[in-house]
Amino acid sequence: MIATDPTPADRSLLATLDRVLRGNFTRREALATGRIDLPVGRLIGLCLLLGAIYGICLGSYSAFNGTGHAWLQTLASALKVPLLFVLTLLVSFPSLYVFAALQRLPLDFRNTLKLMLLAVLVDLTVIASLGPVFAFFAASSTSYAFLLLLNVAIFALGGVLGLAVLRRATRDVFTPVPPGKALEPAAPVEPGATPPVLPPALSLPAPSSRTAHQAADQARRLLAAWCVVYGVVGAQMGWLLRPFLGNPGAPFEWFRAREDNFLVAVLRTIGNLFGR
Amino acid sequence: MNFATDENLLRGGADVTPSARACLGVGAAGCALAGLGLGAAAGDVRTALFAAIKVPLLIAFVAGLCLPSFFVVNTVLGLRDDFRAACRGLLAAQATLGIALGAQAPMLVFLGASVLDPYLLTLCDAVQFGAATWAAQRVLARHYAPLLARDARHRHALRGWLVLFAFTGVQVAWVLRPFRGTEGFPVQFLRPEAFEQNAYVVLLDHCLRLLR
Repeated sequence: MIATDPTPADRSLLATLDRVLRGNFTRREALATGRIDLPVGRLIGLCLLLGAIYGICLGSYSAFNGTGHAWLQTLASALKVPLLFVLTLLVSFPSLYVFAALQRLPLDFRNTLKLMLLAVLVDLTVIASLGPVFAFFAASSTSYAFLLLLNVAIFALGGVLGLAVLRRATRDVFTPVPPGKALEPAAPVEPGATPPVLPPALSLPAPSSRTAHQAADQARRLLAAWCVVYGVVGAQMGWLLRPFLGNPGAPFEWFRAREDNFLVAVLRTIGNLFGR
Repeated sequence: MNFATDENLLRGGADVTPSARACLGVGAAGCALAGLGLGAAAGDVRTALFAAIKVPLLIAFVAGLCLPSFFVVNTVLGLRDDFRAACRGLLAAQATLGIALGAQAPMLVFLGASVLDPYLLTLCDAVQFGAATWAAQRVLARHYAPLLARDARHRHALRGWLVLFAFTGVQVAWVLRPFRGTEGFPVQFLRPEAFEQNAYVVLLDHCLRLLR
């Protein structure tokens, strides 16, 4: 699957997304080669597209509630959701890579970036798939506080599933396939032909000294560091790029003035909902 | 209603599930019958007809809203090869929900005609829907048993579906009210404030008022 050139059908965006969601690029055998055979450009393109789709669903709140400049808010949300993920990765990736290198993740800079993008893509796909649910609530509800919290919940759910993919991938990448083990061929191997053999992974410690338990432990430590860095940066980035929904009681604005932080805002919104 | 289809759905497992078209037909007919039962007690044929349209619409619309994320979650969990079987299970469960609701139609008429307290009537309707949901769950469990035996991760996908379906269903049902006509109010397909209120916020308001 990783050793063959993709057919034209495999190169389409939807086919790529399908393979990402199925975990074709994050299988143990694929990761053991130390590289992820997927162009960064296509990953970013898919992220932008899916982010824009969810952004439109977010912006629909303004349209359904008859807010002035509804189309502007929809446009702003469609631009800002993908921007949120791209900027978060841009800001946090150097630190994430340092943590990865310290934990001796056997992926180089470029492939670590691809791995992060894969997780972001899964996150965005889950979020975009919940877009219709959000749009329905936006169409049938005027409660700004409720929709804000629903949006946070959807983002959190996407994050959890993205994290699950990352967790599986990091655990697998730390558990190398024994050297010389043949790859599962994507297509039937011709009679008499030799199946492809894994190339050596990037400067891995001796595989024999590593157990699955150690690998899981190492992956857990790395993931915990990634979670904290990416989560904090992402939450604050979202706070900086607000409004995504557009408060119906306030005029349209691309960005709001800086105040408080994400956590204080969520607690305040919950308070507003209960203090009605 | 096609009784052979009903029997297969209620008694059988995944091996004797009727075709998708038969499930859709039986489910829609049952839901429409339940809608007729709900609206009939109002004594106005329009209320009954509106409800007969809205109950199947409710189930179909919620399923349509939740399917994309169910597909994504199944794919991410590595269960894509079983997606067709999972959908068949969900469809069979929805059809069973329709059958159970349809079977309760006479009771819905009876309750509507005999219970005067609107709050008690709402509670009775909720119990009836709860019973129909339980029936659907039984069929869903039968369909999911071989899938769960194959891969325990199906449990996560199923739970996710149920939570999202219930969460969205409550709001869709709130938007589509009234299912029973309200005395003193004109017959209407949707209430004027249908798209202005949120079921959860209203529920929270009621709870907070009780506490104050």
